[in-house]
Amino acid sequence: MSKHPAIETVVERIKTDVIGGAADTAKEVVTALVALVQDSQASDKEGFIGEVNAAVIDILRVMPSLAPPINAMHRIIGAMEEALLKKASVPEIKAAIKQSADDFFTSIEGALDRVAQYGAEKIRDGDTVFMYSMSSTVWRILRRAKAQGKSLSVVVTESRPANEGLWTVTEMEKDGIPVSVSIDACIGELIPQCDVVFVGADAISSHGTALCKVGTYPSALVAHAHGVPFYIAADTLKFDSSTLLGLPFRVDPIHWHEVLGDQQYSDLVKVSGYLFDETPANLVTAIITELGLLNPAACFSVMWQMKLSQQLSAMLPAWVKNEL
Amino acid sequence: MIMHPAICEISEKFQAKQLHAARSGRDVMRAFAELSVDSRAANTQELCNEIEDAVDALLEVLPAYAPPLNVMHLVMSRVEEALVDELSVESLKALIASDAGNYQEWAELARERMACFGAELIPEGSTVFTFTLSETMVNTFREASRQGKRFRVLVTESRPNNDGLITATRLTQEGVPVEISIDAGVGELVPQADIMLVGAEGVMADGSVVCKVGTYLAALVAKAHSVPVYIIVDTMKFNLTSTLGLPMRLDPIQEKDVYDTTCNDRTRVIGYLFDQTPPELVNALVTERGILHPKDCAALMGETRLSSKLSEKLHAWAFRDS
Repeated sequence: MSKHPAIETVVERIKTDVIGGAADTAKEVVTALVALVQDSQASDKEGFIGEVNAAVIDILRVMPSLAPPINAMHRIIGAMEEALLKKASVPEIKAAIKQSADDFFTSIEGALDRVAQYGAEKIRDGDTVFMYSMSSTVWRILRRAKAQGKSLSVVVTESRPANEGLWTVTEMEKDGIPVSVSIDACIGELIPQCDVVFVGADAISSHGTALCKVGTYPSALVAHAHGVPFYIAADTLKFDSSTLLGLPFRVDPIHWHEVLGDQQYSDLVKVSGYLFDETPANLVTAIITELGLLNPAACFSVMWQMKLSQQLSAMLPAWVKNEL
Repeated sequence: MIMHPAICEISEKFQAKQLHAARSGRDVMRAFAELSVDSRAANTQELCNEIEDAVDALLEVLPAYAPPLNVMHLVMSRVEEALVDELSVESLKALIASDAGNYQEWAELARERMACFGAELIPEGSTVFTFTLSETMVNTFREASRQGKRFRVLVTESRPNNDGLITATRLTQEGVPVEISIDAGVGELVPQADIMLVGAEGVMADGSVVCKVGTYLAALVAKAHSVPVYIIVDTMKFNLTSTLGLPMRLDPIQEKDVYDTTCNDRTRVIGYLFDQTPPELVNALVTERGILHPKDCAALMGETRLSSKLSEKLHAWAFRDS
């Protein structure tokens, strides 16, 4: 069976890592699924469901550990399952999926705007803000605070590998926000000089642990030791519902060349570590979501109300173990 | 005024940043010994003046290393005592020559003893986290390996300069397996270790330890995960200047350490090459005198006589950049 071109494109784009952020990946996945659903020639429900499931598996196989696209798929497949329960016809299921996708696109922009608003309230005039790595959500918060007329400056470190911190430098320069930059090892001396820390997250677990770019956990330890408030900016699309099922975060290891480059080393040298680390709830002042500022312990109550697809939930254990 | 070539050579090496802390103590002691032997001073006062001029010249270029400062305290105290006791120039020369000989002997012995004490702390079959490069730390691992202990070492790059990569090469030459990661990975690596063992640049009178930047971060992680932290450092690195209430001067990170090309004028590069780990995060200092709590270092510092003349000069030295 040949794949729908929209699915082929999104699979290729995820595989080659050309999509900017996790929310953009979610949007592209939803758009591709809607295209597949609209173009489906299936006359019976079984054939239709089979096409959708095959596309979901194709996407999951290349999907890195990003909660937003998984949650977006939960919504789309969840809408399909709901329609099936109501004994809907294929055209009715298609309409339900389209409606769910439209709702998703409307909610996502409003959510980020509210996160920016709530986060900006936590920045006072004259504050020095430490941020780690890059996060378009945190950038929104900083821009909002500046738009409110607050004078602020930003401190960031490189965030190796990939140096996403330097990307933050470029963005802040564009926005006219004064920024200072240093190496990751300096976190211990820089955070105590700052008033507040903001970081983005790749995923939030049901028990309030945040999966973020590696280096965030030591930053949170420093902030905790020095009494500097530590905020994680994450809309609830980042809440990883697979953690409800007892599944671990799926994290990618750091590659040999990212540390050792092209140099020759003995076989006794191994490269260790992951691209993300986990910051436990007790180090986090609050998670800034579109629902408001949450204590990390409140994550479960939010997930409890999220629409979860049973079919997708059944696939996730194999996905986490890379066995799909 | 013509400076002795040995002093000039040291001065040039400091300016070219070719001397690390441990080596600089030995080299400065040797330079003062050569100056003293070659001196044509007619009397004690003249030799004292020559030595003081050399001290002034070195202070101009001295990085924030404790050993050369401590050596200068030793030599200047000798000089001050000689003037009070009205010693002949020959007697002062003999004393300085004997100090230099003792220093070399002490340095050899200290290296062996620290390696032995440190090796005792490495459990059989353990995982040890270390940071950056330190000769003393490499010696300790070599000694533990020589004793037939099996262990593996975790280290991170230790930017800038990536000294951690050199450590990886040195240790694997000794047959020790090494796992390496980026500095931001300390949060994942340190909790996997049974102990953390690192070298230091200096120890302050309040027991805080000055090390390559990133050590404080690793020590915080170690504390949170109950991994014991041991610092291998000889007592010559105990910073006597800190007993005077003076701060440790730290070198800033350079722009080139962060950017390949120059950055926008608005963006400042900030941070220092060293950080301070407070004594609460350190289980013990491994010194040539034995294993001691960092808060005990003040007791050992009290044993060393400070030169009053040098102490006066140090205030200006400590704040010369600000």
